[in-house]
Amino acid sequence: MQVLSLETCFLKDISVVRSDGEVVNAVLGGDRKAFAILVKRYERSVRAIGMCVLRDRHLAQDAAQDAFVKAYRKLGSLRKAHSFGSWLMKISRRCALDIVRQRRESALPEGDFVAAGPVGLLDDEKERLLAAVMRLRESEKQVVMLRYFDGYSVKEVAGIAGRSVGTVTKQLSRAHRRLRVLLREA
Amino acid sequence: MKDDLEKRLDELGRAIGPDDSIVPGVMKRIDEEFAGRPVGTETLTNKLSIRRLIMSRFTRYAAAAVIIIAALIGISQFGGSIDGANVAWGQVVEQLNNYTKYKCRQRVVRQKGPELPAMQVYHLNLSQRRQEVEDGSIHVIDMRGEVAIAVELYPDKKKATVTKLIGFGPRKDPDIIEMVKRFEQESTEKLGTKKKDGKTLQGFRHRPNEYNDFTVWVDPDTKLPVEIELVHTGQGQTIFLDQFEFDFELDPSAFSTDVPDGYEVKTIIQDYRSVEAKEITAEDIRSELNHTAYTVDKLAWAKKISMVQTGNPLMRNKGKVYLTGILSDDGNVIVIDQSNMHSDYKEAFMGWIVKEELVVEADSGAKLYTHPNGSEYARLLLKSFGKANPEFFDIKNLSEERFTRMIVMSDGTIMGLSANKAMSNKELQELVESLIEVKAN
Repeated sequence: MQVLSLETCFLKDISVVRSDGEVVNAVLGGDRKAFAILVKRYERSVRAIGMCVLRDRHLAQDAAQDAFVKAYRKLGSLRKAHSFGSWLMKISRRCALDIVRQRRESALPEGDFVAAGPVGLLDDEKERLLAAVMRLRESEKQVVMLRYFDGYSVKEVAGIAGRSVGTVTKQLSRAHRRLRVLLREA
Repeated sequence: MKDDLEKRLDELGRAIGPDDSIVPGVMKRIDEEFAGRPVGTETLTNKLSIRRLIMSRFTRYAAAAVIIIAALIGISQFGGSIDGANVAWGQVVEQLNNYTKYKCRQRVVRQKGPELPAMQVYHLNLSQRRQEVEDGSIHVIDMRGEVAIAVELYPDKKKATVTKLIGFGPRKDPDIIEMVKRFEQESTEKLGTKKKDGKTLQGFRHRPNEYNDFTVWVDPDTKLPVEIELVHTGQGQTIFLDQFEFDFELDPSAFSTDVPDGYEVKTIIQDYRSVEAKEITAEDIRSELNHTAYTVDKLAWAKKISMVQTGNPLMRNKGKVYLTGILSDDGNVIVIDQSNMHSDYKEAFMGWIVKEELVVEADSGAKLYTHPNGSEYARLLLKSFGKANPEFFDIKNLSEERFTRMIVMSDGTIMGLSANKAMSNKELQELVESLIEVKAN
């Protein structure tokens, strides 16, 4: 029942796009449920980072949950509320790497992990594209993920990231150029 | 008009797809971990939540040690001079940084629950400590190696319990430098002075949040703590530390985890390493468990039964858990979990199980109780089973009706029962009556 009420709360809140900064401040002000907006907003992006590092959908899901909980825990230390997206992506990568490290340190030989191959992952072409996205600058990565993975319009991305539409447009354009170069190099 | 790259990015986004379980999963975890606490205040209790779930003796000692260290370093703001005791908190931190080892007396006063005995705690470093309890028992904890070891010695009974946690270490608990850095940002209140044994002490108070209230009394001459009081309102307990001695002298053998000759030794092994998920037999379960193993015998409505071993999701997939999956003729999936954790920490488990609602009492004497976080427990166990045996259960079919019952068999064996869909008490009774002991071939 609690889960259902949280989802209902989220659906109500998402009707108006609030910037990351506004949502972060709401959470810090005691509105814990508002954090669900950020989770919903970034869950694909965070899982994408996990998939790229871990090559496993299930592990990426676990890493994503860890990352969001860690972000919630550390939210008070975030200096610029509007930087939440970039900050979260760094946390996501670290959480995914933690899982890699845990597996490496475990009794399971690394060879077995690799040999097991990707579980329910992407085809080669998409995997190459995802890897290229991961190599973008944090600010560009954020707008690309919000735009294409989470399906927000440029205007909505600007609202979420607390940037102007012009800035987001330029960042997307730069990201496209960089992606083309990275894909050619790959 | 979207170009080729944009189309490919769109396709990639669709391939990643949404995962509807993330939002409720994260919010559930946050609710459980931070219930009643303000956001962004990573408290000591948060850090210990997972280990509290396990409730091992070992981790209780570690938890106490964390609190001691945290209390020592938990107040770190500069202050002015009061009543002639001219010490700033920064000087205290600076002094503390000169010492790696210390001893103190620790007392815990709880509002509810059994009294905890006072103990002398010797901190050799962040990985090794010795606790001399007033009931005469001695605990030695060593987390330097991959296998962390906790030894409990009962000299009067000549008995010892050795707990080996494979893959738990090496561990420093906690990261003192990081904690000092964090607390430097917090405000500290000066309390003035008080006299103790003819000595003037200077007080500091620090409340990182409404659930932790630290008071530290410092000797102005040494600039080191003399008394520390930590009121842990969330847990309804207060921890008192005093009789501090920094750079104590103690023979290194006092920190040895070797049990002296003449002791009767009980060894508990907890394996924290990752586990390879695979199908197993009832005999495998019997041979791995250190207590009675059970399997499902005759159950009229069971269409299919499968047994797997996998990492224990209750311990972040560390340690083994043995899952028996039952597919019912009406499409329900039920998972029964058995592990050594249930017997190693039986006392702690029973502590809370018996406070839950008794749902079913079978003729055999087996009892089924509710679980305080049954939906999440069931999600974790069903998900683990689905990962280990995807043909048997697809996590996409996880139901909102899922629930957990804790089974306490007549011989005291504890198991978990997680069902994906609702079950009647009659079905639960039939299922628990069908459980039979796995005997050696």
